[in-house]
Amino acid sequence: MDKKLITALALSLGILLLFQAFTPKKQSVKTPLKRTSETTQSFVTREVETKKTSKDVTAAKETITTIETDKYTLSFSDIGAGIKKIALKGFIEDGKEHVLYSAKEGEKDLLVTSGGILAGTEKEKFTLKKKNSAIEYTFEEPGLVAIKKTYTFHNTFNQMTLDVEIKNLSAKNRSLFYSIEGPTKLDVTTSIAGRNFDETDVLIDGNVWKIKKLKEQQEKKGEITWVGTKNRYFALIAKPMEAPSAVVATPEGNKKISTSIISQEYQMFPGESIENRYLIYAGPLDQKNLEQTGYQMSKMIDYGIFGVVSKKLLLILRFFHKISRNWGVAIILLTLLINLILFPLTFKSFSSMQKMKQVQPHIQKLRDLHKDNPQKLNKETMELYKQHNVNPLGGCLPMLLQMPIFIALYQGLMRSVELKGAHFLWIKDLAKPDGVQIPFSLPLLGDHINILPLLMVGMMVVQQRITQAITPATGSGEQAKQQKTMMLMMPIFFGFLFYKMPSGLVLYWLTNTILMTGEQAFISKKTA
Amino acid sequence: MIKKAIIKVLEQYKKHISPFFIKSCRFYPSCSEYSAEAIKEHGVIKGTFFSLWRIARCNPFSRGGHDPVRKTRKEK
Repeated sequence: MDKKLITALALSLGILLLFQAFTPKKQSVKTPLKRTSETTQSFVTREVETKKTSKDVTAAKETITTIETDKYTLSFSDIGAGIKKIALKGFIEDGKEHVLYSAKEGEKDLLVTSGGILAGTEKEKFTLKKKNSAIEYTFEEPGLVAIKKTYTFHNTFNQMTLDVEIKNLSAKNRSLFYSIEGPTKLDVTTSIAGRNFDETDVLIDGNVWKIKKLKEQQEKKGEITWVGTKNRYFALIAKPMEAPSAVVATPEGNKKISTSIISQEYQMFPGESIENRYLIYAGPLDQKNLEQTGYQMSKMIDYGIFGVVSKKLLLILRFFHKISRNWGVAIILLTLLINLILFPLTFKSFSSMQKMKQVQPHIQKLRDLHKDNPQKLNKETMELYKQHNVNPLGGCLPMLLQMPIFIALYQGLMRSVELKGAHFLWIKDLAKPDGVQIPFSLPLLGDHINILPLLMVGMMVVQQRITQAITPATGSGEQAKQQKTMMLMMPIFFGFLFYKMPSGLVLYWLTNTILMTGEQAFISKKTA
Repeated sequence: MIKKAIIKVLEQYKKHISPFFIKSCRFYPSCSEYSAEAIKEHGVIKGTFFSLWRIARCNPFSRGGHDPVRKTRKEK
């Protein structure tokens, strides 16, 4: 191998490694979660924590109440009156409702109130009262404080509200603040192709504070609009209706991040009570639902630098899905549309190609003339094209235009919950690699192979063959040969990159390659 | 500083990444060479502007061909 090829190989390997290094390692969902040790105590006194371990809680006879709405199944615990589990009805995973959130042993339940004069109440048993479309939990410590937590459900939206009412039962003025357990990392960490999508977001002072990794507890004060957590497809957001004073993010074990929202400080006379409302969104991370909920929750969706393009492309994709009722077909239709829009550019190339035949002898002459000076040959060839008003090359713009479209679609498809579990031909899930079972086990690949990326690699090789046939070789024979070897690397590199990508995305790139190859084959026939 | 870094990146691209792709530029010098030269000649802001304009022109509707970077008048 020559030097250039080696550097190229090393470089591509470097890019691959870099890609791996910057993306968090895949976390296995199946491995049991490590017990989170109680290292932080934001607003909970340590005594209370140690006195009652999770075993004691069961000893205190925790009663789980399950509520079903059209959108989800919720489990509440009367110890602390928080949410233990949220399962989404519309999304079935392995025959079961998709569990969005569940509090593991030793973890605090969602929306548990504690801290300040409420310290310790998170371990107390609340009294449950069921109402029409709400449940009410009450707890009273005579001579001190009374807490009432009311959860109200909406049947049609992925929303619910929590009203917290706290009454001063003591005979003196008391200042009150409390903390409420905000969203922690969601249950299923849907990482794909080495990418992890888990993130905790806080909309504070109009900006999204993105927390991916956290070394130590961090508190932020400001105008807090909402506190949320998301994975690849879903979001859990708590929106305090009365301005809280701060938000605290705490790293738990196992890469988890928990949040708590700290209320403002209230001065309460004897017998006085305060009421705070929290709006909870638990559901898919999609434009439509979040915009419906309002409060700038759609800021949780982040498709990266080409986000605007992503949203437009997804809109078109949804339209095609409405017509075809199949996401695979919709992706193919979208690819066709993109190619159709770029067609004037390719068409222009067609007509140019036909004229190529006339200039061919001149090029041969030039080639003989500047055999030893490839630069000069390049320049003269270009000059010749200009004179005859022909040019077989597509130009840099169409090449570069493909890039933002691809990145935008990649980001969009990666995070589209609609593709989850969408069938197409042999593909069981367009959001995952197509993984077809084979009767034997291959080294490295195992007993599943992804056919789609392999098809894509094959198609790319075909495309290169055809393009090479119509593109006049520049440079000397040795150089041309070298270039050929280099170009063979490209499909292999793409194969590596795409192998574990969601099949929906590979389907786009495959269709695109097929269309382009078809166009080029057409050109080469015309010029032959 | 920024100028040198951008030129370096462009040169590295030309040397190591560009050979993987099918040759597609309609001009001589190619878009990447042109960009590096334009930034060298006219500075980052003006050079980038020239480069973007060049890439925009590099489509099947243009004639292509020999298209060197304009020299600044002062240097004459």
